[in-house]
Amino acid sequence: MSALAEALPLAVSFDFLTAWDFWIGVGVLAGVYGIFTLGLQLNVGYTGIINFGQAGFMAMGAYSAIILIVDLGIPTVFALLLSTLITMAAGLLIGVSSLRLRADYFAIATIAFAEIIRLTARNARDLTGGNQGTISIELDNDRFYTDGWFEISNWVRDNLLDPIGLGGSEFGSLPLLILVWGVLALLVVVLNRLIATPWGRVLRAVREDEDAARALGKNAVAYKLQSLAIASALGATSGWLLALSLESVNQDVFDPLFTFIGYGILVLGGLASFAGVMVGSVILWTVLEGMRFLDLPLAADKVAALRFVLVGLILILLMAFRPQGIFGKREEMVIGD
Amino acid sequence: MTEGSTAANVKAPPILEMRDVWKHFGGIHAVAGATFSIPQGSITALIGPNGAGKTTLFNVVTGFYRADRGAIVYDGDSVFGKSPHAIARLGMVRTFQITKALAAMPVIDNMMLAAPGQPGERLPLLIARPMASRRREAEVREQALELLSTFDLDRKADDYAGTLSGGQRKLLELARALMARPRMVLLDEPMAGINPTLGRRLLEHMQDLRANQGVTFLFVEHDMDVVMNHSDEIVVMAQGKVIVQGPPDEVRSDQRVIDAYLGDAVADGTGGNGSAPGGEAGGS
Repeated sequence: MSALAEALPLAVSFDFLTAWDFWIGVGVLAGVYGIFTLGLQLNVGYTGIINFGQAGFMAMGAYSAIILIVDLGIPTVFALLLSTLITMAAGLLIGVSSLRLRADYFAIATIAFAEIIRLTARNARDLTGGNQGTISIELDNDRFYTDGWFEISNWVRDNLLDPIGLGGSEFGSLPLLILVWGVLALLVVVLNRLIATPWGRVLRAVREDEDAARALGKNAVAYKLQSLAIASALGATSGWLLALSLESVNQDVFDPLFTFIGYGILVLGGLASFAGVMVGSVILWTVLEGMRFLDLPLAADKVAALRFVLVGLILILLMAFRPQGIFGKREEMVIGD
Repeated sequence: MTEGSTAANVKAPPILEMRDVWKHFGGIHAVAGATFSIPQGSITALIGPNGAGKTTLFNVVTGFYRADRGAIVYDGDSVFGKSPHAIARLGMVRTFQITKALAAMPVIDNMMLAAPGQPGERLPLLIARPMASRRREAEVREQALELLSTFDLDRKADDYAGTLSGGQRKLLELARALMARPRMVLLDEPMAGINPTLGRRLLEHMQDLRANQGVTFLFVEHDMDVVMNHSDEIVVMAQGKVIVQGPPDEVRSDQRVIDAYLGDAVADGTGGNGSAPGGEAGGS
């Protein structure tokens, strides 16, 4: 086997099939960015708003929850609720100030917002721990934001997973995987129902033609704001779950790059489909992370770069052969005005 | 001013009144002091050569453009500076010159969207009273299908609006405007691009709605046969001003209208280009 592996310039080691902890981690990431991208789907796919600031909402949700728990000692549940509200308020603020701009300028305003949040987090060391991450403020306060979750997680492992043989250390993140995907699945069901209501119909009308919607008595700006507020709440939720999986966050994980990974998921899964987001996220993260198992005669950083090359290639092929994405509707894409 | 010339025939109180409305873009006065009033329950045509400011006027009346100054009174209340959705909710609904079908939505959704009084369009009410939303949906769907069948679009109900032909889109847009239960409808070139049979049906439907529900119509149209035969009243615009308002017979023979359409060469030869039209307008 190893002789064969050396003989071939490109070979796959089969360890990955049994690396449970690794794949559970990938599943958590896919779920977290699935929730993240549900917000983008609501904005882009259903309302026609181009939101490039989702990573900023994610950062805001994560940081505000962590600060509330660690610095202020607020119980986790309240902290999560409060941080979601804070993030929604930020979403409304940027919406009120910038939604009058034309779509492309609005997109630029949102990415600027996201960078403001990230760079503030990097520099406000007392508040966020800066580049060292929140672990430093956690140590200062001797309070860890993951404590509440680990209690639950350990209980689940001892009482539910151990009896069925999934209590080993390689399944340590399984409770988190269950939580993340439970939340994701629930949100997909709720959003699917919401979008099928008269409220969702107005959103789609705004996406199709804002002026037509306004001429029929719909307050287009109010609907865009609602869409943005819900997307920012989804961003905040994903931020909190990401923080749970990383156990300490710094500003790197809220780079604008991740917003565009979200867009990659969106394009893969297809516009105007929440289920597509789930599938797109799994595919994208499986490809991105699975490539770590490719034994390439290359330096590690080159392999890391190659992962994104492959994702790019997949997206290009998708555009060529299935431009509507996996779950998107081709009819909705090809009909013009 | 124009009131003087139209007060001759006794008519219903105005549903829409515009007094000295101005709208400029840079140095161009697209609407330059337009004044007219539309009697309730009338079918009024708005005509004028290209660039006369008809579409701009529509946009100003319906709130899509904010007028520089002037008074716009709809049904006794000023709508000056109000937003388009607020004006639409007062019962003044418009269509667009270039149709705005919501292309990636089914025809039936286009129709149902327009219906007023759907509590399910507001998140708090949707969550608090989901049944009220569903009941209203059922009602609205029935109305929508009925209206679609009068316009021969019922078989297209579940198709994407984007698959309709240009003429069908015009009809859909009118049907959709009617779904909003308007008291006044502004139509920007409703006949353009639809076949004569359907056009006739559209006109019959307008007459019908006016007779039975007292709906007022104001429409921009270039087809003079339609204008002369189907309107009670004609408003003629040129260079941003209303130059004549009156019944078709009067307007047909009015020298100012002929001048406006045939150009200044026939008139006194003053080449008013855009910003400051000659003093002939005003018609006092």
